Amino acid sequence: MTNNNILSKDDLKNIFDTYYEALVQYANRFLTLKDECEDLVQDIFVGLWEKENSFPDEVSLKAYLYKTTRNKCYNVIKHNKVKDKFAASTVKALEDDTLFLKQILEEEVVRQLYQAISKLPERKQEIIKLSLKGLKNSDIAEELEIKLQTVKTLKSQSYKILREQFAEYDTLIYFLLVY
Amino acid sequence: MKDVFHISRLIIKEKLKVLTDLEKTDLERLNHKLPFSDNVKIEDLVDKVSSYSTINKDRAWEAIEAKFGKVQNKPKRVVKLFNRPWHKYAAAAVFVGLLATAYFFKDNLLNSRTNHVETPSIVDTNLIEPGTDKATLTLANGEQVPLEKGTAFQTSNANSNGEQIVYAAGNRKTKELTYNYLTIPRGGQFHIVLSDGTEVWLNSESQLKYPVSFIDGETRQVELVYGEAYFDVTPSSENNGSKFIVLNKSQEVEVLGTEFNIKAYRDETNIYTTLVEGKVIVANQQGVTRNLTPNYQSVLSMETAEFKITTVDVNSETSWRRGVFSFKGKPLKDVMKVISRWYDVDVVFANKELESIKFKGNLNKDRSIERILSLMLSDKLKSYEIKDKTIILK
Repeated sequence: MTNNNILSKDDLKNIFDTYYEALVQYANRFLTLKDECEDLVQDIFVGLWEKENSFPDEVSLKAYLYKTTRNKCYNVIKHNKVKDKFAASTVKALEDDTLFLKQILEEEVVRQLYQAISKLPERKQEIIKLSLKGLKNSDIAEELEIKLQTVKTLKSQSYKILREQFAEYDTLIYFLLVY
Repeated sequence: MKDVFHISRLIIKEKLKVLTDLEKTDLERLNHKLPFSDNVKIEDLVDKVSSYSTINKDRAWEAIEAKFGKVQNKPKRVVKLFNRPWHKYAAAAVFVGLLATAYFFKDNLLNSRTNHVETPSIVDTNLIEPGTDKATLTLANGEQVPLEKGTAFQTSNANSNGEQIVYAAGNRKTKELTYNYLTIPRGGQFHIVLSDGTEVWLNSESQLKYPVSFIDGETRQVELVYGEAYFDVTPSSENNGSKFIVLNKSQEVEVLGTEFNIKAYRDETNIYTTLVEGKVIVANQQGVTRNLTPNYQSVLSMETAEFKITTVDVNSETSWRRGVFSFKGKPLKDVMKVISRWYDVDVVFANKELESIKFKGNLNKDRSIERILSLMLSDKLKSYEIKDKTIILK
């Protein structure tokens, strides 16, 4: 038996494409060095590939990824020789389960927004981000130095695309083979 | 954690103003359950979206591949299985692996649609549409009136906007019953409010016979001639004690004000009665009766005329009324029966073995047939073909 991975490379790439940034950003809340965060998250993917992990659904996979990232961050900080004030408060933050959930919630909101927005052309991305921040059309026009009418048109087109993407998700609710 | 993932989506949908009523309730419930969610505001998170794009993903993926390469090249531990036919284990392990892959993959397909299955050949799909609100109303004089979205219709005691028909509380002093029929074609559904306020949701390929108004003090009686209907019956206490009976050629259901679902299709050999709320008594032609309590379903076999009572997931059994088909481990044959009624299509199984593969899941009823079929593809159901109004599963 040569193949003991449950996940194919394609599967793993899908998971990577979906969650990589979110996990790195989550780790970055505790570890200041971005490279260190990336390294740590990459190891999780390598582990995912290597081990015979199986997940009954996407929710358990997602939960596993965030929890593992949290644990790894915890280990890094615990093992850091320097016990400064910052490390102590970070450990405290990492130990807080409610905070963990809140941070995951934030990261998941960002992740899904990012995935939806990144499909838009660049100009629309800029407009939609400013609009989501709460800026008025006139402020957006000024900030991006474009005509108010252009803002209005591109904004309504962008919202339409985003709405479709999020409405579409419901359909996909799920459909699985049962064994 | 599941709640966190769920509410994350709802928060975005709220911002985009695409929450359904059901989701609004869900969001309120979850906001309450996860108080910290109130402080999660999209306005504050937009800047983080931008920081996602600063990550070099190609480089990261290369790094993962390189790291994995190193791990793989390490000498493997040899595990010996003593006194056991090793190939059995190997085969079992491979099999488990395959199952898990298929299972996982199917789910993951939801987010990124990589295809490991044949591309389905679609000849002409323009003909197949999801069902809509429509019905044929047959009046007491035999006149037939098509009811459809966008066309209003009115009689002296009923009013339809094309999506539902409402009978006026009307004349309780009626001595003689006059009957109307509501017939729902394949690809249709309809909602009706009877003169006593009882509401009935009718699924595709169903027919209901009911009096235009009920006689005061007498048993209220309607007939589900065939098909599927969800009843929300007004209590006897509001109707001078009159009980409510739903007839069918093989079964009678007596109710005292309650919600339940009856499925009695002509091409099926069982009648399913599912109680959501209250209490009903089901009876077969021989007069054998069974009491049903909520969350129980009676299955009457038309062959043996025997009842079987089981617990069921009521939400899943009655979700069709709310625009969702829900299947909990149903064989493909049954799944396709439901689909064929709603999309008004014929389904052919190129391979009989496909009929028994089981599915679980929820499907939105307003989706295109291709969308639904593509979700079902797997290493078992490899492809499908659509020819006019026939779907061939391969």
